[in-house]
Amino acid sequence: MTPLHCSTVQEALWERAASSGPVPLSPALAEHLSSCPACQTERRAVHDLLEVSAAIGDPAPPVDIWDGFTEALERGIGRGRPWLDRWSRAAMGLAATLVVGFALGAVWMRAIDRPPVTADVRPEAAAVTDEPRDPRMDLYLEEIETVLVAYRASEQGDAVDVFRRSVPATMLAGEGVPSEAARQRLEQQRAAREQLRTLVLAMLASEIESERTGFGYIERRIAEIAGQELLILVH
Amino acid sequence: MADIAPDILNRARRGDRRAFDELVRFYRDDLLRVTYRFVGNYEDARDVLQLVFVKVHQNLDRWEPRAPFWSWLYRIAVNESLGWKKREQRRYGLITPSEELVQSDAPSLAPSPLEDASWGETERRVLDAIDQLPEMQRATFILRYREELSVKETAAALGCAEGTVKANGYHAIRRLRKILRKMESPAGELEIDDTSAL
Repeated sequence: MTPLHCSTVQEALWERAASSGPVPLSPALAEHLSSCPACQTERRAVHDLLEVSAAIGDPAPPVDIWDGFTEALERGIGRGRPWLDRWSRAAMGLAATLVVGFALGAVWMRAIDRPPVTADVRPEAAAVTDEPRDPRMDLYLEEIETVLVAYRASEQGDAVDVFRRSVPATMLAGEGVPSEAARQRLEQQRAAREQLRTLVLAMLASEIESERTGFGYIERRIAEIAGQELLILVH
Repeated sequence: MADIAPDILNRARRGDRRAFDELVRFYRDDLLRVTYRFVGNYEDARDVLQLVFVKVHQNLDRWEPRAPFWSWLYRIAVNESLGWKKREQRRYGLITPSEELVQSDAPSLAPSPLEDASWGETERRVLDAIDQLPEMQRATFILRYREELSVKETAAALGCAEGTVKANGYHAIRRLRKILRKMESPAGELEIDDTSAL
């Protein structure tokens, strides 16, 4: 009988543990296990891991865990979507974050949205050429300011902190020259952001104003309206 | 897991609101435990459970009684829990499980129960290690070895083949052993040779 290597034995032990029922030890495996302290230890460790995993109890849920659950669920079902109570308080802040993020994204996209590349100029060079400010940015900024003012008035937290966490580091860094493929993707993202921005602003008007929704809901609604691909593209 | 009486289920499927409420009460404790084991705290677990039941309500008529009803519920609960974790990670810029393995010294998304005083060091380590598994390995491990479902039941709950459950279970155990070995011996190196992360 060919002696087994420890790694082979240990893989067999993991495989046995993941199988659907008791698997008898092969003679070679049994022989190796009987004489190898390392593999015996591994066998015990796997056994203990599974035993401990099954035995770990969860802390008892809070006694009031179901308080208001049915009512909240009814509202969610009635509205065709869940209403996550504790999120509604943060909805304004998160929505503001979203809008600010889109606007900053637009600014960033604008920085690489340059005139067509001429034959004697490398794309990288074209990408860093200055151009006049897009007047639409003023509109974006006005909208952001409006939402932020509303958010601050609600005194629900630190908008700046939430904002910073939501903005990709690459946007803030503003460094690096994108390749042509990256430029195309960024262009797609820019269009997607624009579409998202329109959707979000429409939702802000009808939903956030009534303080009855949260960021998760906005995401789900966007996914429903515009498709999951749009969200994935933006993220 | 036992299933609710068929007549209540059928009434709920026909739109009987009281039957649906009964269904919610019947399953909510079990599903809360499942969502808790995925998201790591009861507040989030409760929110996820709301999403689960809304989705159940919206799709009850699509359920086909080829598989047990509870496995369909489990599948929704697992999907919603995983989706919740993903959104949380994305929203707050947290690292993915595969990145966690590379940067295993970084603060993990360890659930607050890890600090529960009633647990010993071994239990904490095991839970911490489970939390570091890639998504599908974690889902498989939680259902197979925490919920103690069979391979067949886990496959039904995850909507995959039994072979996939076994493969994910194998890789989960293998990876957990490596993580735990590293925890037990901080100076040791964690081998990142598992390309099966799903």
